[in-house]
Amino acid sequence: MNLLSRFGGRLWDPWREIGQLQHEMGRLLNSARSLPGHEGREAPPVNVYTNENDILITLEVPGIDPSLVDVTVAGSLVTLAGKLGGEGVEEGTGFHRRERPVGQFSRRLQLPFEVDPSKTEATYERGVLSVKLSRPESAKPRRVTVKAS
Amino acid sequence: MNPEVNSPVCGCDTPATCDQPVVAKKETTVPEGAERTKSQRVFVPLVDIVEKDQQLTLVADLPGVDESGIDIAIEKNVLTIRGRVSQAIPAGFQLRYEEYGVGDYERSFMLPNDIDREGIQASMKDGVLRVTLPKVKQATTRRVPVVAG
Repeated sequence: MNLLSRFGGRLWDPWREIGQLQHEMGRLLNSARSLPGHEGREAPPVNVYTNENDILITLEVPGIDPSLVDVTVAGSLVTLAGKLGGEGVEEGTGFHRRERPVGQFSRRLQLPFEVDPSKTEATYERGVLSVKLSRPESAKPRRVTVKAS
Repeated sequence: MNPEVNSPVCGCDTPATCDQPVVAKKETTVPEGAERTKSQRVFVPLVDIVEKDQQLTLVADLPGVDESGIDIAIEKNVLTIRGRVSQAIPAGFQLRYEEYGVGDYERSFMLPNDIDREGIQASMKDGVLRVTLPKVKQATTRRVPVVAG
């Protein structure tokens, strides 16, 4: 059996394995913390993408009420807050499995530069919250031409 | 996790977990001897299973999947949910920081015998799949009298 088939056809990426281990540890610690009274202290994961002009932050928060999402931009600090699992548990219901996170969440991200809050756009689609922030002129990549003397 | 990519995004001491532990997605395991045909990652969606009155409700988080990407199959007594993500990386963007993997979803459940196979219904909204599994109405047991003789 070669290395490729052993890992399901993907190239083995040690950095990803370490990252996943880190997340698993966080999850384990969290499950120890999720005793009654500490419900919903889990934070949804974020990904950050960039292109030349914008930064895109995506957050996996399925089934939330987008009107209750709070996106705050203050200088270079972006805060995304909201509530997961809006529907209350009715009387007479029994859970056989309860894995989906419930409760308030809040993620704070520090960007390497200040962004213009008026150019921020937030959309919610297919359970993914996307926040698009515009890079300031000073933070855009610039090509420097080399002059021959 | 690459610290160079990590540090500019999140300013706190533990950028990977920020102020709260992050919920990481769990990847499916490929059975020994079998191989995946696509390089796309496959995750196990988180589910809640709730029993109320005469039905079971299965709620699954499949962020990034819309109703056209869902496939629900019932074979014998196994219910399998598959979800295909519409777009892995936003067009024109490059991934800079990753806390969650983007990929397809798959999970199977054994159905109890008292579920009405024909009455199963499913709906999808904001990345949350809701499958209702009604129970068979006439679940009355028939007693056989034993005659002495």
